[in-house]
Amino acid sequence: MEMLAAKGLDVGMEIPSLKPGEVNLGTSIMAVQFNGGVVIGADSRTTTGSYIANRVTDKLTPLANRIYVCRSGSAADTQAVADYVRLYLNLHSLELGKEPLIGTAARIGQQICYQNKAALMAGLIVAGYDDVHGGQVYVIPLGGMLERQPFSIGGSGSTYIYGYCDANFKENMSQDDCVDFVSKSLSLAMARDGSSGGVIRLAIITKDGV
Amino acid sequence: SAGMQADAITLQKNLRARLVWYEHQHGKTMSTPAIAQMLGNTLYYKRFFPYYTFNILAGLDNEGRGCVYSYDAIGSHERLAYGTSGSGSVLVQPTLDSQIARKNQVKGKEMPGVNTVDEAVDIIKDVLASAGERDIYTGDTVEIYIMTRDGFRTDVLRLRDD
Repeated sequence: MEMLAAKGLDVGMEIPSLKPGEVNLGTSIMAVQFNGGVVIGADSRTTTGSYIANRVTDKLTPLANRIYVCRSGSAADTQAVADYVRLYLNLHSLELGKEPLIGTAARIGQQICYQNKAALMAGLIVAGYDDVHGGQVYVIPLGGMLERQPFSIGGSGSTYIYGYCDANFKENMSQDDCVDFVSKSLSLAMARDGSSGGVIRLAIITKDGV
Repeated sequence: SAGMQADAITLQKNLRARLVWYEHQHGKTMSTPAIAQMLGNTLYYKRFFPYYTFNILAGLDNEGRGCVYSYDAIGSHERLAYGTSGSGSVLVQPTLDSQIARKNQVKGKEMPGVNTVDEAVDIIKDVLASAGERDIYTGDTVEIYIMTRDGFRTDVLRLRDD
């Protein structure tokens, strides 16, 4: 890449960054799958630099009745992407005649993030419950990859809790255990990460709704 | 001392040593105005390689009245009724201007201002808690040192760990 750059060719492999003054969802977000649904959680802090622009942000955004997305990265980018996903998902489910699948929502989000990877800074976790596959968690990191995981953590605060989460996650936890796991993990992340804080917003999505 | 931790620790350590020297040489404790001048001198001594610290000095003067001195990194200082420093100071300073000095208020003359120690402590707790909500670098715990002619005590305010 350096050789190409030296020849004067612009390879265009720059990591997108926040513009000065742009609002940042510093963030700690996570989603955990359990037998019968998912538990999702997020902190509530939005920052512009060191100022906390909003200390009671809602980073858990509904895409459909039982599909939510956890947003991290640029506030504007993630709001725009979520709005587009909700639109396309809505149209799709009208044609389908049924509730949309989580995988579909995740794939739509992934397409938007991948095709616009140079311009966007959005880390998303799509999670929810559908009747075909039950509770599911899909992660879409910065470059626009899509992967399903049993649980996923994201945002700047997540770096502090990888060890804790890897040590404490167990397959087939109960709903209450998952809630406990999410609460404790996010508390630890919020304590250490300056860009995460405020309150923990938590949601449990099952076949009965949110 | 707000700013760089290493410089703050070293600066305070050096000042403490100088206080001990003074007591031995002059046979009395250094008065707050004297310390204020010494701190200013110490900072300006390193005018071209400064202590990266933004200091506030507080204590009782020779008459037993409270005094507060506010500094910049290279020693400019001024005695004030109240002072703020650090990343959260931009959030706290206007509030104190309004509530203590009653500035910029339409009905300023009718405001009570701060008259007792407990009122002052309450104001400090309130503004620092507010600053902690809006500045990512401010928070976790507040340590308050209360110095009056009757003595010295500390108070602690625990905030959210976030």
